[in-house]
Amino acid sequence: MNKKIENFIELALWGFFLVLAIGFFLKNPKSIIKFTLAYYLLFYIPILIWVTNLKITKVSKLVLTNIIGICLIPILFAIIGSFTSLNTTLFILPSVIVAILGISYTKKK
Amino acid sequence: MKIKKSTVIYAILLILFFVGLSVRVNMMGMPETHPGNLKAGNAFYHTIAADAVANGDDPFTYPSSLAMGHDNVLNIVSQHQSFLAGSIINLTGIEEWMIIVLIVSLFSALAIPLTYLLVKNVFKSDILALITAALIAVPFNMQHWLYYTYIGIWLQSSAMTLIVASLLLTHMIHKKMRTWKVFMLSIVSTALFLLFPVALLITIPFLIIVFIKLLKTKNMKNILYYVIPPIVGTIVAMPYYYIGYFTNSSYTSAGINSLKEKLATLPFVVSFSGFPWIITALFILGVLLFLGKYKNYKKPLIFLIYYFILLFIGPLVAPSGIATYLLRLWSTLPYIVLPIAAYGMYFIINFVSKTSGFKREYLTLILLIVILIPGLTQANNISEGLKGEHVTKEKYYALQWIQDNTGEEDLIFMLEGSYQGEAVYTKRLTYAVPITELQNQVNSAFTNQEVSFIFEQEWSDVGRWSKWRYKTGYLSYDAYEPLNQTQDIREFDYVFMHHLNEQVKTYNDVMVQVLTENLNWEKVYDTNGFVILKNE
Repeated sequence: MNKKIENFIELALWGFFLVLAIGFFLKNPKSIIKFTLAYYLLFYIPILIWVTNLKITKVSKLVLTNIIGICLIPILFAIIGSFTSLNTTLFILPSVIVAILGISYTKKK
Repeated sequence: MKIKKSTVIYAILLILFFVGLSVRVNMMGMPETHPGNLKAGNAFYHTIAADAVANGDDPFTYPSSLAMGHDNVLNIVSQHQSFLAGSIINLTGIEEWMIIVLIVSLFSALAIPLTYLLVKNVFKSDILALITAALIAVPFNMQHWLYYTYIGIWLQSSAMTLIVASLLLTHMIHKKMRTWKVFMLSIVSTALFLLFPVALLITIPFLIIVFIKLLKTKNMKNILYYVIPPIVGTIVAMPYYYIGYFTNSSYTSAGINSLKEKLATLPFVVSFSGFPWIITALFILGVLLFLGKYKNYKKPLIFLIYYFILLFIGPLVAPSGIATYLLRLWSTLPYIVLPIAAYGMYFIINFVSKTSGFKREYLTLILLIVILIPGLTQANNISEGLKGEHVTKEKYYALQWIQDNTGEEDLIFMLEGSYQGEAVYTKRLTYAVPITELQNQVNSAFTNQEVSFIFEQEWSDVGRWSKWRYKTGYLSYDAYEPLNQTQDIREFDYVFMHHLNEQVKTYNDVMVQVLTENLNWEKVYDTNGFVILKNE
């Protein structure tokens, strides 16, 4: 398998378990699943696509992916929110854009 | 099988992260049924603001119920956290207080691995970095922790983490310039600007140094990556910051302030006295060691000098509004003091290891346990000591009854002895009688044998934060007149009462009798000591 994809899958799995463990603080099983999926797909995966192949330790990647996720995505919400009222589709949009740009950037590299 | 050293270190770091996260989350608690252990009006406000964003309301204006009934009063509270929590609330439907407590705790706990990475990068020592992370993970003193995650100053709590992230990325850029590092620093700084702008004063010298370095490289791509995010952030936030702060004299008129007076209004502010003496002693040892190796540690020492001048002299001369926030930045002290104290500790470990022959690793492990156990005990004491709920389940149900059964335009009179702005959970425009004034009314009613209908109290309102201003252009505004503070209870649509004690219950019973028998009111809710009357 392509080394890049291998790295991505490994970090995606680590990240999933990390977010799932964070979600466990919500105690209710439904809330745990909902939170894990929402946080993971909105704030973790789109940034991970960019971060995967940086030359830093795995811990740095995990931490920076979370930090940049919770910094960058709300900035994009703020930009969209200053033009129009936010709804469910628009809440998903920034993550989708970041992910698509990330995939095309990684492919080019 | 031999376990790799890095695996052990990462396992310890993961444990520290989850211990730290658990302490932070559980300190506040997250019942599913009600906001429970949230404390202070700010905490209530932030949950309501996130919920409003989740519901698609304009994030740049206050909910009308909190702005004297106007739906376009400018919201000058940074919305970054509301966007973050609001998006998850919208997609999951989980109650707003649960999400926001988890997000704030997560933000705060992320400072643990970030501090580890920062210390490891600066000092090149895993052991020192782990000791620092352990010191950050658990509380030593209640005073510090009230500020971080409890009292409701949540935006600042998250900003602390971004300051550490900025310092880490700045250090990484100084080691080796890379486009992704430049972009990440730019994103973190923009988020910090949108979250808690005054906190940028701590990192701004480094941001300027990085910018100068970038200009020298003449790498246009890096320069653009560095400047575009803050420019976009400024364009988005400027109307709100300009109208809220730059046109407000308390943020623009510098002068000599009385620090003591300011501190009295911020009893939860962190100071050196909050640290155990051993930490202070180790911090002094660390600083002395830095001074001894001045050439190696020139940069951290210059930062320390700048930091202490900014935080301890700045509030004396800054405009009063900014001075208040600079004082709140004292809560960053642990992130500065603890790594240096850890450095002092590390020196002692090395010394003991050399003289006694004990392995450094074992000494560190013992030390981590010594740090964690009293810290966890302290966390438990904090949690136990602050168990009282401002919004109990019964109270939340009564407040929710108003949400579900009244019209959006209805006016609610909160005769319940408000004390932390819990009326926000009615999501209606409310006029609140604070607990002290309620007691005065009760005493007066018993003395004069008659209840008063006229009150001189306040509307539950945050519109005053922006002086009820609303935008008329990008940077132009007009303002509403605040509603009259003198109000007659008989002119409201609903009255909300709580039998706080026997004396208050007697007073409430008389008020119910007067309104329902003499006037056209009806009792519509009477459960668990909460009574709601409707003006027919």
